[in-house]
Amino acid sequence: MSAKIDYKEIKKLVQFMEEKKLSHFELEIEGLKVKISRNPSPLPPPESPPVPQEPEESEGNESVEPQEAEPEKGKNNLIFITSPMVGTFYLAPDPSSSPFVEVGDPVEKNQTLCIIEAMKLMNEIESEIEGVLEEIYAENGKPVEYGQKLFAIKPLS
Amino acid sequence: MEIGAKIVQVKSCLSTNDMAKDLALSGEKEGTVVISEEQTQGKGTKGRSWYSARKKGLYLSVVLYPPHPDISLLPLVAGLAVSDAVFSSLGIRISLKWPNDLVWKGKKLGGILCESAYSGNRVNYAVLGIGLNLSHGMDDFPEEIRDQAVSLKLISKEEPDEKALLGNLWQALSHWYGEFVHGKGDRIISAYQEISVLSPGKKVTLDTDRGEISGIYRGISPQGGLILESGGEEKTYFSAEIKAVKGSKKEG
Repeated sequence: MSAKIDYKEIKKLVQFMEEKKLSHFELEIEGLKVKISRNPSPLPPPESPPVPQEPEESEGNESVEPQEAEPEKGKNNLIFITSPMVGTFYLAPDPSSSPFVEVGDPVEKNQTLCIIEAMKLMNEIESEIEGVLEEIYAENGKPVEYGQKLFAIKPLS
Repeated sequence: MEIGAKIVQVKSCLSTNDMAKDLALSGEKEGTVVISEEQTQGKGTKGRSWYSARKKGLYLSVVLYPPHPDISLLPLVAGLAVSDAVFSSLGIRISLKWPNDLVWKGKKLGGILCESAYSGNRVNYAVLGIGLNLSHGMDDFPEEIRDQAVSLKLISKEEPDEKALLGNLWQALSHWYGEFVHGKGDRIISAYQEISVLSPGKKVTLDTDRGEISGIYRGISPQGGLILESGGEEKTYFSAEIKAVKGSKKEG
């Protein structure tokens, strides 16, 4: 059996990296690989509420692998939407339609973000929160795995 | 939970799945069914349309609130229920072509289209859509699908008793959905394999999201995926269509 790592442990690793001012960290135990990189945040986060903005590269944002450890909130308070099943990821209801969402779009609670098809079962994945779509990780028409990160959303509040 | 205890019958709608979704969103109770005499924008898979002639076919959708998020067996549940209901009503055993086709001697008799909505990883609702060709004569099918389509009337040579069929369908759906709810996926899979057009060992070509893949069919996985052996390796496919089957008696 492969080793497991949970969110708490990842958080500890990130804190450790912050303390030691490390920008890169890799760990491998029993076939489980964890890679964390961080860019030290130059400024404290702005006080004003975020507005829809151009996508930008992570700022003080750790990217954490692997995806088995279901990420919920990133350092930037990003909320990750993960795939509830194995299937094919679609960003539009059909090939001739425009995508449900694009990076930078404001997202409402219960707004459909994508469809995942498995066994001809069309599953609409809705956002649990209101915010701004920061990132789309999956590719249209490509297979996704259970628990795979699909979107990052920056919450409004 | 009883499926079919409440039936919303309409003369025409765009798609019964869309109507059922609206009902689910407004908090309709589980098991309610929408039946329409025709669908003007009946849905097939991949955005294809489903030919839905007025009063010829059965077009219905069921509102469900699955208690657990792994709902991949629902299309199989629907297929099994239709097959059982047709058998109880007419003594005809129709086959299931993974993942969602209802077939008889290689011709298409109907199809299943399920849809659901998730909030994050929580399933809000699912609608189980069934389209079945009931009383089409040959001329009722568009010319381009005439050689691949069939109806219950064309098979049995008599007008099917829709009321009796529906009664059997509610019973079969309640039974198989009950198995799903109670985690009896193994029973669903084994019943499905019994009436599948595929039998293990057949050579199959799949159209997948990674392109066409040929191999030996090895069965259905616990999550309902199709297991194919190719290049000495077994792999499970969840998003694919069967393109060709070689040497299958049931298929021909």
